[in-house]
Amino acid sequence: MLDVEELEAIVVGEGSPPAGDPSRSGRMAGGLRSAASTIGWALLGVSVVAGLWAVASWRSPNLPTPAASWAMLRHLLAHAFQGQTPEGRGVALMAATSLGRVLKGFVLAVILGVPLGLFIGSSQRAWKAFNPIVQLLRPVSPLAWFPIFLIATKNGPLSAVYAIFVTALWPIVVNTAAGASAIPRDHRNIAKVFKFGRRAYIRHVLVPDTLPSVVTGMRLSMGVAWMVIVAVEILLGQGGIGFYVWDSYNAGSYTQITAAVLVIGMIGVVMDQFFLRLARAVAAPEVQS
Amino acid sequence: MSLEIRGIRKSFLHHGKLQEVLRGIDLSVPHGEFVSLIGHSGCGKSTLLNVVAGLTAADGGEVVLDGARVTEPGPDRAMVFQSYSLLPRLSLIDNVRVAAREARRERGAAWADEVSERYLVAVGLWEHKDKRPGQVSGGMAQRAAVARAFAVGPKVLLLDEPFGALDALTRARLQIQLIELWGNESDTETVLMVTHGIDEAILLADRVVVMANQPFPSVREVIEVPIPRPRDRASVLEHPAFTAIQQRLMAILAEDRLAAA
Repeated sequence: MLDVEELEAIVVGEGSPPAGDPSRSGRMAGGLRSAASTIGWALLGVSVVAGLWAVASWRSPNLPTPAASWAMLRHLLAHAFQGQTPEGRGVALMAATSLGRVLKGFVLAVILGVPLGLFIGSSQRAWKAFNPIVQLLRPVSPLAWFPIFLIATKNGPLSAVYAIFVTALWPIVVNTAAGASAIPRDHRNIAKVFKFGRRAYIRHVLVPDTLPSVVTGMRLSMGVAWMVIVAVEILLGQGGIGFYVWDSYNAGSYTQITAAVLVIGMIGVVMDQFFLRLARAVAAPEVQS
Repeated sequence: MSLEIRGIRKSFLHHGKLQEVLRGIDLSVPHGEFVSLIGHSGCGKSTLLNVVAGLTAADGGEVVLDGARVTEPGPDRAMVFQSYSLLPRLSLIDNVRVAAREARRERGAAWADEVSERYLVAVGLWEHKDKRPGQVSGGMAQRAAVARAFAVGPKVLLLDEPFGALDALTRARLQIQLIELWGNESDTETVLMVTHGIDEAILLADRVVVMANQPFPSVREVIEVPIPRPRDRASVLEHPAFTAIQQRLMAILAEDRLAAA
């Protein structure tokens, strides 16, 4: 596949600085050009989708237009932190409610999932014991757990947190286990030959070698958890951005739904970027030959 | 005071067939001797090294070092692996220091600091001590691995094709550096080195153990290298024994290659 930068290099052609000896100004211009091209192509993609959306809303008049949704989004963001607005609570406050539930479930999943994953990944027997149950429960929609938690706790918001916990648990357990079982044999041999104690092994081998997989698991978990919270809150009916979507539908305020969808997407992007950067920061440096 | 390898046997399942790679190996290495193990791929020379290291359990036989039977890995048999096995997130000095500290916990942190400095200086890496393995060349990474092995003060040094992945010039420099380190700087007396290189085997060793695939016995021949120390490349190449040993090794290895084909 042709990379955007390659494409740009082809288009720009002889205008780009000679390879091997890029002058300082040339490099800066290249950076600017590359940023401009990234933004340009993104704008093109957004316009195409917005165009398709406009066509769809023209054919189906109840569907809010992109322009109306954009106006509503700006309105919602302008009053994001107000406790009371004509459209309900401020959108940031509702998102905070949802984020709070997601974070509680997520942290719980990390606290339980990482040690469990390390255990499963570093012992053949533990792998054999846990793998079938993990494989059985992993494909179950977290929404199916929600009523079970309701029965058990008789507490709606708490059950929502538990549903998120179950959602976030599997990617963390599976990725951590994969990381722990894939510690390079060289590193284990070093630890054996030089008689690393338990603490040195954990600090210099186990943690650094599994951390990238753990962070990948956390990133996947957070992505799914943020998707699931909307559905859980629709079921729960007690606040949060997911409930807001459903409530707006019941009230016939359709532009609020599309605006809220954009908000949900933006929050998702921010969280994913955070974990992506974290993953890069803990990635293993390669030994060159 | 010596390394005794007695009746070592080891088989592996290869394509559903049990292959006896080590077929009863007996080798006695007196204190202070440098032994090269040479042979074609699959002859079990690295397996033998791993058995001595305690990383691989033999099916039969025993390894005895200074009267004590080897049952597990330990710093008295420090190993230099083929693939620059350094921990990628630690600096070169920390790779040596952590290993020294863990391997000899009873000697304390100050001792570990001192030996890691001494051996990193000895392999000429002191000015690069704070770089990570990924930031230096393969030759430098392997020198750090050699420094780490010497730093823990092993009785036996195990080298698994230590220079196999390096270019010829770097390899030649490190070979000389290794014999100087071994001769002058360390208390390490005995060395077992697995190698593919005929010249390398002769240059460094007091004895060359030629290992072979079936139908030959595992140890085909043991050849003495009567070239006096201290050695350097010129004195070894000019010594009359060198060419004779070189020819002999080439003849045996060619025969084994034919038998395997």
